[in-house]
Amino acid sequence: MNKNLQDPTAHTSARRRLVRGAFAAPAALALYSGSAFAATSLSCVAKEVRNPTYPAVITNLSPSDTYLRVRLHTLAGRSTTSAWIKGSDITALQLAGTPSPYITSSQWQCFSVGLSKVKIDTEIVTPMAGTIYNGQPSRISNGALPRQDGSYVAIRIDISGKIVGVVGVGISTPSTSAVHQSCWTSFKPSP
Amino acid sequence: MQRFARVEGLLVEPIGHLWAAFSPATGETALLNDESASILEVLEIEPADTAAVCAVLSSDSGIAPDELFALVDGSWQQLTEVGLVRELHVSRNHPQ
Repeated sequence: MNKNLQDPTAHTSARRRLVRGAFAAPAALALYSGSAFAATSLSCVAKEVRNPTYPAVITNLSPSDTYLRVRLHTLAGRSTTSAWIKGSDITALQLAGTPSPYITSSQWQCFSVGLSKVKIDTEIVTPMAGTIYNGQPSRISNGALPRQDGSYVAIRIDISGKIVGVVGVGISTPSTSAVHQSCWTSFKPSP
Repeated sequence: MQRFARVEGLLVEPIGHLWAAFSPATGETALLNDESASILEVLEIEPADTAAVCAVLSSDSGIAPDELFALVDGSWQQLTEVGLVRELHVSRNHPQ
């Protein structure tokens, strides 16, 4: 019999491993599972999607809300104003590792119709709420560009983390919700 | 004298020069050094108080029980908090 083989059934004893003449302070270090934190974050997102929150547009300059939001850009006429969402404002909020947002950096989305006609680059169009345009809108009469007036709108996100729109327009995808900043913070994994 | 027992279903396995102990009571795993694991081994025989544990460990380590007492006595709180041991409460009518 090969004596070098260890008996696989032999029980390792901590007491046998104690060094004679030395005894350190007993120590126990609890290990915490990361799945617990992940479960918390996922349940947070699931809760947001299950009970969607649809806040109104926020118009104060120093809001105390906690929604993940983007500014609205307005294009004012004589008596009417249209509101637009800048694509780069949305893409700036994309979380690493999540699908690309519903809009690209160079695109603009009409949020509310006020002006019957606007110019997109060189083309004159009739804006429709929710429609995405490949360029920046401007006034036909004087070429004025959209400007920020302090209004915000909350973004919507689906369960995969993709930004699928903003609250108020183009809600065609079910099971999406405006996401609170607190939820997004817990959802975001550490780098 | 306070007596302590291992939590039921406790699993202790060596990992390198440390020990991993899973507690069904907390659902968590703790890393132990040889000293903590030795205390749990002593309690595997039967519940014991600090003096009894020190007497056994004294024979293993060659250190006088009196010198071990403060270290072992000071470890109960941590071992209890991570769900590895529990304190036995002695009843006057039904001593354990």
